[in-house]
Amino acid sequence: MRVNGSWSGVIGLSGGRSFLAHSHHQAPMKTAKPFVGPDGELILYLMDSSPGLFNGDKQEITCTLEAGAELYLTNQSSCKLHPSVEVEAGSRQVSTFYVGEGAFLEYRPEPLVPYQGSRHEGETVVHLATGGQAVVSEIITPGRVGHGEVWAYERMMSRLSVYWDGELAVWDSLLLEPKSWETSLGLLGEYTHVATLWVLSEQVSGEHLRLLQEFLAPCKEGDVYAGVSRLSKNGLVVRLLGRSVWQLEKVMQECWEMVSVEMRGKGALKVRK
Amino acid sequence: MVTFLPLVQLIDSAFPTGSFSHSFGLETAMQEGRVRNAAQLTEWLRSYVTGSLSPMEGAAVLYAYQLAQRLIAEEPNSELTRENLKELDRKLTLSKLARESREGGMKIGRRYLYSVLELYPDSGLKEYESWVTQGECFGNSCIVHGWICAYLLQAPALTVVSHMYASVNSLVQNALRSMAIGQTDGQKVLQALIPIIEAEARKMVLTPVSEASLSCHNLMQEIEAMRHETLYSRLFMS
Repeated sequence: MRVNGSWSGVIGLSGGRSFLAHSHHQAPMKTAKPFVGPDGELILYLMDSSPGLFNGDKQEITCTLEAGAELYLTNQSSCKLHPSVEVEAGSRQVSTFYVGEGAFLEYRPEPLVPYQGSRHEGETVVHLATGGQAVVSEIITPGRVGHGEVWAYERMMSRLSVYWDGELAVWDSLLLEPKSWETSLGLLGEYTHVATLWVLSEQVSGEHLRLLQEFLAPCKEGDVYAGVSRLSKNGLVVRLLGRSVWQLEKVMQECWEMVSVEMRGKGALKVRK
Repeated sequence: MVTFLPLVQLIDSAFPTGSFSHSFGLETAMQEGRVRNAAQLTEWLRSYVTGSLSPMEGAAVLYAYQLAQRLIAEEPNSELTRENLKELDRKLTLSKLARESREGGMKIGRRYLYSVLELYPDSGLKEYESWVTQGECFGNSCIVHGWICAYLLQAPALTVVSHMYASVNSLVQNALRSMAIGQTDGQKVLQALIPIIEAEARKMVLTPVSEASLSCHNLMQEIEAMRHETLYSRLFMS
C-alpha cells in the first residue's frame, strides 16, 4: 500500500501577528497546534504519524505566505526513508512555497535518514515575490550511522529551484548514488553528511558574504568542510560537508545568525527541540 | 566525406575559449594540500569527470545535440525545441553554485559561441547568439558544442567524449602551469582519464537524456570552487 500524506497551508498577517489562515492535511501528515514566537512570527511543527516514508510513498507540502507574514516551519524528527521490495519505486517529497511581498519563511526540516536499500527524491520549489525572503536548510545523512549503516541506500535525489517573480534564479540538482562510487574521497572528501543553507533575500550584501567567508575560512579540515557563494540573484548559499548532524547544524545556525539581523530586522529565532 | 577533423580543431587547447584562465576549484585543492602530485591530480579529475562533468555537462551536450538535430532537420514543434534549449541553458548555468564557476562558464560559453560562429556562420548558432544578446540565455559551451556537432554530422558518442576530453585537457594543462609535474606526467594523467571518459559516455548514450536527468554530486569540487574566492594568491579566475 502506498501512502500519500500532504499538508497545505496559508499564513496570513493580522495586527502584526502571523496566523494560520488556512490549513488542510491528509494523514499521516498533520500539524501540531501552531504558536506565536517572540516577534509575532508563526511557529509550526509538521507531524508525521507514520514511521517514515516507504518506497512509493509521497509527501506533499504546499505553503503560501501572504504579504508580511512570517513563518518558522519545521518537523518533529528526522525523516526516515525506508527500503522496499519494489526495486524501481522510490519515495517522493515535494515541498512548494509561495512567499509574498514582505513575507519571511524559515524552513528548517530535520535531517533525511536514508535506510539501506532506499530510493528517494526530494523536490523543493520556492517562489518569491520581490520583497519576500526565505531561509531553507537541508541535511542528508549517510543512513543510520549508529547501526553502522553508511551509504547503504540506493539513490538520493535532492532538487531545489528558486523563482523570483516567476523567473528561475537558482537550480540545484544533487544526486547521490553511493553504490556507483569507486571511492568517495574525491567526491565528499573524508566526510559523510551533506548540508546546504539557502539564504534568499534582496538584503544579502557583499558585506554578509565577507563575514561568512571569514567565518568559514577555518572550515577546510577537521569536522566540517564548507564554502559560501553568492547566488546569481538575491542571496547566498552555504554548502557543507561533515561527519555529524549536530556539527553541521551548529555551523549553519552560526552562519544564519550572522545575516539574520539585516534580513529580519532582528536576530535569528532559536527554537529548542 | 565526414571526418572528425573539424571536431579536432574545436577541442584543440589552442582554440580560443578562455578556459586557460579557469581551474573550477582545482587551484583551491592544490593550495589546501589535497592535490600535490600526479596521482592526486588524477583522482581529483576522476571525481570531476564522474561527479559533475559527465552527469551535468556531458548529459547537457548530448541533450543539446539532440535538440539541435531537430532544429536543423526542421522537425515540427520547433518552438518547444527552442524552449527546451533555453531552459537547458539557464539550468546549466544556474546549477553552478560557486559564483566564479558560474561566471567562468558563461565567459567560456560566449567566447566559444563567437569563435564557432566565425568559422560556421550557417550553423544556426546565430539564433543561440540572439538569445544570449536578448538576455534569454546565459551562453554555455555545452549547448554550443552539442549544436555544432549536430551541424557537422558528428556521432553522439564522439560529441560527448570530445567535450569531456577538452574540459579535462584544459584542466591538465592548467595544472602543469601551477604544480610541480612535468609534461610527460601530465600526458599520463590525461591518458589515465580517457577510459573513465569513455565509460561515462558509453553509459550516457544508452539511456534517454533530458533536462530532468542532469545532476551533480562532486561536492568537494563545488565547495573548493566557492573557497577559491578568498584564496590568498590566485593564478586562475575560478
